[in-house]
Amino acid sequence: MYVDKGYKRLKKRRYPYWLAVPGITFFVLFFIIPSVMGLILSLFNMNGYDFSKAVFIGIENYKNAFVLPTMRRAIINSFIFSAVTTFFKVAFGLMLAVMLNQKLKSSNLLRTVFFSPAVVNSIAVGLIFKSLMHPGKGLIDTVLNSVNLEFLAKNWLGDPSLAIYSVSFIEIWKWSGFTMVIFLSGMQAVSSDYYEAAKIDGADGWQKFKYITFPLILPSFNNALIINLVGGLKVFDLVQATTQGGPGTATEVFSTLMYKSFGSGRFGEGCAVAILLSVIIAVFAIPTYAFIEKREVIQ
Amino acid sequence: MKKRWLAVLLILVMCAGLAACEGKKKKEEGGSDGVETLSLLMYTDWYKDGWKALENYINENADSLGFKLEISTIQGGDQGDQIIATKFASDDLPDLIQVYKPLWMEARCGGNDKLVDLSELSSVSEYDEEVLKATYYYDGKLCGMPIDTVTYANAVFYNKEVFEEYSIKEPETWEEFVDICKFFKDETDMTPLFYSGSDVWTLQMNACTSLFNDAAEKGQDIAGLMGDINTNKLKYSDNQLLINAAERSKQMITDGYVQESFMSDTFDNAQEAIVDKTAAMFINGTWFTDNISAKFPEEAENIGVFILPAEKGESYVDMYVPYTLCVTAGAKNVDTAKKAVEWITSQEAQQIYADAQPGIYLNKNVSSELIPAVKELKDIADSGRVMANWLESNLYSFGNFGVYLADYYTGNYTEAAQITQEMDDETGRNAEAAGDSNWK
Repeated sequence: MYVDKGYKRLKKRRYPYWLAVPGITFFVLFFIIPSVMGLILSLFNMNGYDFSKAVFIGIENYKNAFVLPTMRRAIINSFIFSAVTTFFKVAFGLMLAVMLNQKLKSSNLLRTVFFSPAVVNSIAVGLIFKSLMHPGKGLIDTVLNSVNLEFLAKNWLGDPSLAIYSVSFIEIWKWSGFTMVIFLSGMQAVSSDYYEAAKIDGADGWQKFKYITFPLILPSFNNALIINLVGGLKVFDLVQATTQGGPGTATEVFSTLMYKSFGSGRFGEGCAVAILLSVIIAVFAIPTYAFIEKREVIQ
Repeated sequence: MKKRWLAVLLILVMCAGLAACEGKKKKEEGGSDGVETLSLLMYTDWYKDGWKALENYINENADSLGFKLEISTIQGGDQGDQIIATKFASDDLPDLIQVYKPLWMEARCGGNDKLVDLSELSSVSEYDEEVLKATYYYDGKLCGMPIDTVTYANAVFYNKEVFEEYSIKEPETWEEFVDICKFFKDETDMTPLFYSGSDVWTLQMNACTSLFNDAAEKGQDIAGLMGDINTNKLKYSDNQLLINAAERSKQMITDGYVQESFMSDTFDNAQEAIVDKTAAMFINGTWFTDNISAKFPEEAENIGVFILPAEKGESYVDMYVPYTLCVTAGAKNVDTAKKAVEWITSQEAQQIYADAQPGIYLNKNVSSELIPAVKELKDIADSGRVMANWLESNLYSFGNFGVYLADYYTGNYTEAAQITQEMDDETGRNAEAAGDSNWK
């Protein structure tokens, strides 16, 4: 009788582990093993797909990655892109969420409108904006010229000092709505009791936001910030679709650099750049997440 | 219980369906009717009118030919090159494949040992043996046969009506060329010289052929010079005329002869600009006239051409030999695949190709009517002022010459010599990665 009970308890305890097995299997197969393989490959010199000719060279690929002529530019661009886009996506997303958290008749429609760019393919978005931003013939400059704002008309993607900011603008346009949704989900979880109490105390809108909304949506804020920060450092598709890292190498970022190393058949070097990118992301994302997490308030 | 039986029944139906599909596929592939379907892979840009006409003919006459084609296309450029390299690495090969030169295949894919020797095909005799040996043989093996047309570059295209209107003669020297640009800048609203930097490959046409003059100055041909570079006996930086050409091409921008939006304009924009007379001249290759013929057929006869004058010495036509049609070691039936290539490269098939896509063909028995600009370039080439293009003759990738030029044009590089330095550095990186002892 006792044995039977123990067996049943063990069987019960095993149950959640069995459920996790498929997920863990996929995670190990498609994440852990490739990551370890990437780390190993980054220590080898190999050109092309012939693994039999790979030669162990230690950290040489990491040294080479740092002296790549475009590396410095890629680092600067990746940080500019990540900082600019994260700041504006979070700011616009928060503003939109506050606005659309009100009981408006058009709330649902506007939420859909602002979210819709996020579901459009990045390559299509890149190609459309490439056409819109053409100097002289593009819609943006044409409109600016027609309303006597010629001084604002620029060579958006062709001017090397401007191109990275133009690509950042496209990213902000595309993903602000998505960030808005993250904030909205946080705001809708805030109990109305707090606002009613604040109303009785005579708090105005700004005070409600500062002392109730923002502290209580800090977990959402933290998620939005980290997602955008990491996404910004990893950007590839949009840059590839609009400028391919150009003009020249003016918009080169980590991922386009990595892509070019792989494209030239230098797999070891490509893996080294990928590992470096992961480390850089971790160095920035983990402390940022921990810093904000400590300040989160539980309802 | 009923549900269980229903599930078993559904599984049986599914298995029967899959078996039926496989049976149908086998019949298509093979063969009770004696017609074999051969898979052929190429880049999308290469599937043009010639191939379309030939494919139609083959599939309509499959019974008599004994084969038909199933053509798949992939995107060109770096991404397409990587797909080809991956296919060779993983032995996921089609029956037939159209690729660049065998040297390129060896350098990028290490794949020539996975190609079948075609030297015994009867159609080989219809081609110039020297041309085949120079390009299509690798390590004594005929890795593929020429397909598509010879193309010529280092050409400056213009609208004949514009030159006639302003009574402009084709320039013989660089100074005369600059004078023409100055005239268009000062006397007309036209852009004297159109650059299409958004399609960055077009920029390399502005300067790359000066390497021919470097070769001539060293008493070599371009193959000899590239041989020295491939064995690290010579650096790209040692070629001063190439560096000077990059400087001159930037000077055209500095002097205002190129449109301001040149880094945002495309190859398509260049064609429109020449046709609608908003630009006077454009440096490119005969594929420019192919595009004009396809998009603006009535304008093709109006396109004039001259060779971009060199700074010093002779100016040469830059010749690109046709692509390579190969039989892979992964072919289901190598004999049928060889038979197919034999017929495709024969006079009969190449004439069908040429009728649909006029141009210059290496098969000696094929005739084709050329548009004036292409014919003019061919005449210059036939007179001996021609060298084979070097951009695909490198054993190790030097990166992207067009991107380096764009960096120089937009100020990322301050000196033209940085372009060749970067080419040397990238070549060294790739050679070292390949373990080449010449770089140790």
